[in-house]
Amino acid sequence: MSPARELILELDQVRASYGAVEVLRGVNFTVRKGEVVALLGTNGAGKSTILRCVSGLLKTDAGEIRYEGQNIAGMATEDTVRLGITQVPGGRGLLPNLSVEENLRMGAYPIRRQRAKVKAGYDRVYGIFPRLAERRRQLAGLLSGGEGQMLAIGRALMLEPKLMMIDELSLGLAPLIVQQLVKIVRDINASGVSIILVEQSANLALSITDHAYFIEKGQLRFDGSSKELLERDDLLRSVFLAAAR
Amino acid sequence: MYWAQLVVAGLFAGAVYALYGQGITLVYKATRVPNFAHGAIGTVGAFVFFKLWDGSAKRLLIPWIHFKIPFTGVSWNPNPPALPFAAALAVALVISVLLGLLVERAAMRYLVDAPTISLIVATIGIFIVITGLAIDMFNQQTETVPPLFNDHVYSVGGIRFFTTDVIVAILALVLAIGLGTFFRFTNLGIAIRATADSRETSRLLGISADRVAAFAWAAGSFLATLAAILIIARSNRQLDFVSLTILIVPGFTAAMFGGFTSLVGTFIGGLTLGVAQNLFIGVHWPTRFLSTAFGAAGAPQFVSFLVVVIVLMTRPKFIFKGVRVDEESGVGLGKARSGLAPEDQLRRVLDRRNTLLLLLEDWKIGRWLLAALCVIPLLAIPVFTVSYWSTVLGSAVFYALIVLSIVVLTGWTGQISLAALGFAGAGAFGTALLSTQFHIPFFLVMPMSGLIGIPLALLIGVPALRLRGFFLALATLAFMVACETWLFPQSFFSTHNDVARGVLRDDLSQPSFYMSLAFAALVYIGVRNLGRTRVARAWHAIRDSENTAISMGIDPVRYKLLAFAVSGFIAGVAGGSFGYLNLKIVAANFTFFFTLTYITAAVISGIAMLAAGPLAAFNFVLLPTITARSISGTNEAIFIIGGLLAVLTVIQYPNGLAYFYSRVLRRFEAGERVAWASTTDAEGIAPAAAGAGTEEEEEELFNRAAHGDLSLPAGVPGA
Amino acid sequence: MPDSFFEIAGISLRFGGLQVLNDVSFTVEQGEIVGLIGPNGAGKTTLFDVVSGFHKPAGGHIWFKDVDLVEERPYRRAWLGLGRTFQTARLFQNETVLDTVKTACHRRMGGGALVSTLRGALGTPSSVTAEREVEERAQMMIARLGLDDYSNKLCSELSYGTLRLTELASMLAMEPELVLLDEPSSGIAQRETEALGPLLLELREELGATFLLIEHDMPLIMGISDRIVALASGEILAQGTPAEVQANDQVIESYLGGRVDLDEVVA
Repeated sequence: MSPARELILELDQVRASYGAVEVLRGVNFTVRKGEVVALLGTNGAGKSTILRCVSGLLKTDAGEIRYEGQNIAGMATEDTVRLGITQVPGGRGLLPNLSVEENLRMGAYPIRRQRAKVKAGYDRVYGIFPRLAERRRQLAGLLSGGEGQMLAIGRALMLEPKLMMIDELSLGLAPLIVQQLVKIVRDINASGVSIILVEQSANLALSITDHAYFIEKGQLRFDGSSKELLERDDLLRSVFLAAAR
Repeated sequence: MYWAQLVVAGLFAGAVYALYGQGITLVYKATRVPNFAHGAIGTVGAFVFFKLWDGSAKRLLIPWIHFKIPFTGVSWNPNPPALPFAAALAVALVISVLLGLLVERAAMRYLVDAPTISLIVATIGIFIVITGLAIDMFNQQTETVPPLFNDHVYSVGGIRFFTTDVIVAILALVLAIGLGTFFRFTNLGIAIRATADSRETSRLLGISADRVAAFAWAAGSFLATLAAILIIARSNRQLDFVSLTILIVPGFTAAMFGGFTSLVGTFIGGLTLGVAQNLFIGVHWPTRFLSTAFGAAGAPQFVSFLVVVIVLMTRPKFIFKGVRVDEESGVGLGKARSGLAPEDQLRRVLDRRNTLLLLLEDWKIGRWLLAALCVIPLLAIPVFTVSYWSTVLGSAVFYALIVLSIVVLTGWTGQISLAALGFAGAGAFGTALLSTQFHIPFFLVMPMSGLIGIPLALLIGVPALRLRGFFLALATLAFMVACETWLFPQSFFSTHNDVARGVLRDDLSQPSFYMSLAFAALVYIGVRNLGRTRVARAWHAIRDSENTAISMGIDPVRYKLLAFAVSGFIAGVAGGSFGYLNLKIVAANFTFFFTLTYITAAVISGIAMLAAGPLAAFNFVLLPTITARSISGTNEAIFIIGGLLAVLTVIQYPNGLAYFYSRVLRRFEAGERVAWASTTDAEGIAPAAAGAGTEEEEEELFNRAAHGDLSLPAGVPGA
Repeated sequence: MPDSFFEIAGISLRFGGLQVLNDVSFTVEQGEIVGLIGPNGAGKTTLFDVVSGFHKPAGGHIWFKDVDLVEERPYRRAWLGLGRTFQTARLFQNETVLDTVKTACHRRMGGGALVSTLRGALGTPSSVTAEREVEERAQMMIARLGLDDYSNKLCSELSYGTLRLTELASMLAMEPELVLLDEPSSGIAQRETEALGPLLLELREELGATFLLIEHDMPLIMGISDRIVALASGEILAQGTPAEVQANDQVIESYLGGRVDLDEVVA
């Protein structure tokens, strides 16, 4: 991971709010090409909001979001998706009344006219997640938690993204399934996709990412190499449980 | 055989509902908008078709099209070309699709996250505008169109039906299956379902919600025209703008069976409703009372009401799987936006000219002056001029009271009710009965007519306890239509529809207006008093957040019923005043269409403010009467303007006019002037922005609260 | 019959196939501040909703001053002395601060709904007096929290911090004996959060109330709570003093998650 690698995403003093509630109070962070970055923090710190701003679901109040050098702050979601930014929404964010295959099909919506590409997308996703192939006709709402997460990740892969943002990878899943998913996330990354991982479980996030950012009350508190942070057990506990350092 | 015939006839009638309901389902599914304008859009298409089709053009009473530019008097009467069937149909469909796209682009797109009441009022406004413009454009008379098909009478095993019946039924079925297929197998169809599932997730996948909505409106309008042409051909072949509006309730009912998402469900729902209505009418009721009550002309509407209430109350799982049920009341007012609200801009302009301070300082006197200015002509006009003005002013009083009753129930308590005129009708008929049969004097009849409104209001208030938002609106609408077409035309009411005006005072020719005004003033003062008590606060709390209200100890059941009762009382008194204004009362005075116009008037005037009552009466009764001649270029001017205003209001300023005035003339708030002074050149910064502006100020606020010496004074428990 | 002031006894709740709360039991003594912590989805807010009566539990009791709240209708619970704030500060968007605080006085005003309506409409002296008293009381609470400048602002115009203070003013006005606070610091900035702790302690003194609060801001909750109850996946992991809970291995794991050994997985 040489620092010379170019940036794929850069947030510069981004502020955003829901109505009167200011959630992001000037956030800076960067993702390099091919990197896996963790966004950590307690509930309500603004992690998911950062993702919403990047994908264009939420308009920023101020600041710049540069993606491959281009300022995408304020861009419509449809357009950020076309640029190769996909998101695995938190709380699964599936379309429960659509079947598994229909969910995947919608994942390829922007390229729906390129039939061959869509077909290749199905094959790729079913190759990674054979379970989904077995359940392709089932309604997404009836999937188990782990299968649902697989579908959400698979759907985000349909577009061959450059930047994938995962909101809560492990939430509510059994450890064994989390391990499988972790492996898949690493594989996706190995194929050249940059990844932002929002995660409750700090230990999990730190073990699979290159760099981590701690967000608190809408601001960056500190960041560092995941490996080094993982060694600092006391630091983590002080952040998450306010235990004495 | 008797029953079989009834069932078959019911199925064919139900196919019409299904056809009508499918377009409603399509739009609701994709956009969450309950489209009250569906019938109006379809009727426009039907008019275009019948005016162009060579099979009918020559046989119409008015073959030409009467283009009139509203409010100008400029008109142009071209003769439309006579086109073959297919071409005429194509033109009609294209025009209605364009109309649907226009509606989406010009209005509905701005209402994506709007509260339910805004969606309802916007489509009602569009319905009124389209109807008003189209009546002006096409004709004022009902026309009879020739049959579309050579109608054969078929008889299968003694059961008779017509070609058109069969075509309608087949088309409804084909559409149900065809659209079902579309939603299953095409990218666009699946994208619509995805948007219905989760707007946000769909956006993340690159699905444009705007395009989905535009498609839904285009397709919905297409279906509306198709349905309108066939329904007109199937029923009495009357081409006019009212016959289709009455299908709103059965259309929505059919859509409800499909949970507003399933087209096959809508189809089955339409058939179910048709059969239920026919069987109900076909029953030989045991007693004479029942048979006259349930056999009356409006019985199908009564059945619709029953079906709507039963389905909405029980919400069977197989229908309501995955249906969005409103969690909140659906009545929201305009939120404070970033930047200056219009009233602030006006205040700022006034302030810069130093007129605001003057205005505010003199406002106490100004208010009395204004009130006097209003009251003096109100009292003087009927005396010095002909009785025409008395009638106009009497209608204004009625109007103001109806809006007041809507303000209490919908604006204050958040219960979207479209039944205000139902309560008023009860009051009016009650007045007639009390005055002619029992010869009770006026000043007793008026409060009594208010009391008559209460039980009727509670009748719909009880099921309303379980309903919110659009479902409540639907139930009350069905109730209103049942009142209009079934309850009020009953022989019991029609024998008691004379009002003995003379009971009040024989020697006065215009007694009713003054007395109505006096009673209205009393009611107004009573409601205003009430507005300052904990009762009104409990209502507001229920409107804004029921759960918070409950956690503060407010019993939602009790207070909702109370709101219905008070609203019913006000509307009942309005009905009483109406009774004394008109010598004869008929059901046609209390139609659901008028109720819809009252709702829009209430929203335009400011649905949460009492001043909306008089304001609405002034804007929609007095002003049009005064200016009637100057805008006589169109007959429907008042409706068109009202409809446009409604759409504009919900998009731009959901709080309405009364709120605007009150905000412009409010007292200065802390920091307001300072904020203005400091942002003289920086537009778009709200004055005294959102409480404490900066983090530092905010922190200061918390510190002051935490360490302040402002301990609780003695006498407060806990100090 | 329970001995404690407030006791949650064996509360369970299922949503569909999901066990959201599983046999949750703990007690709160009068005058205590008890903090409820746990990662996302632990069931904290759901537990509050059960106590408020918005969900009916599948089993269990909630004893509050010897009354089983589960048997009481939701609005009655406020009359028994239960107060509650919401995670997203759900106050009345279209009401002013003053009216909101006055609304919170609802249960302090006597008279049934119907009687109040008639009296109110007629403007009887008793109604006028009662309203004046409420107004004074509300003004007092607003002054207490330093909100005088905002009393005529609509809630929808307020910044979040001010809204939180309005919420607390309403609590003061309601004068409950047990207050459930759902993330009072969410949505407000760091420095305000730091000021919130002393404020809550102060309010407890003045109200003489018992607090049960959910909070993600650890310094805040650990600083003011007498005891902490840690919840995860609908079950109680640990309870005790803040220090004890912070040191509990299970709690640490629930917050930080288990480690993943990459080499093993990737291999």
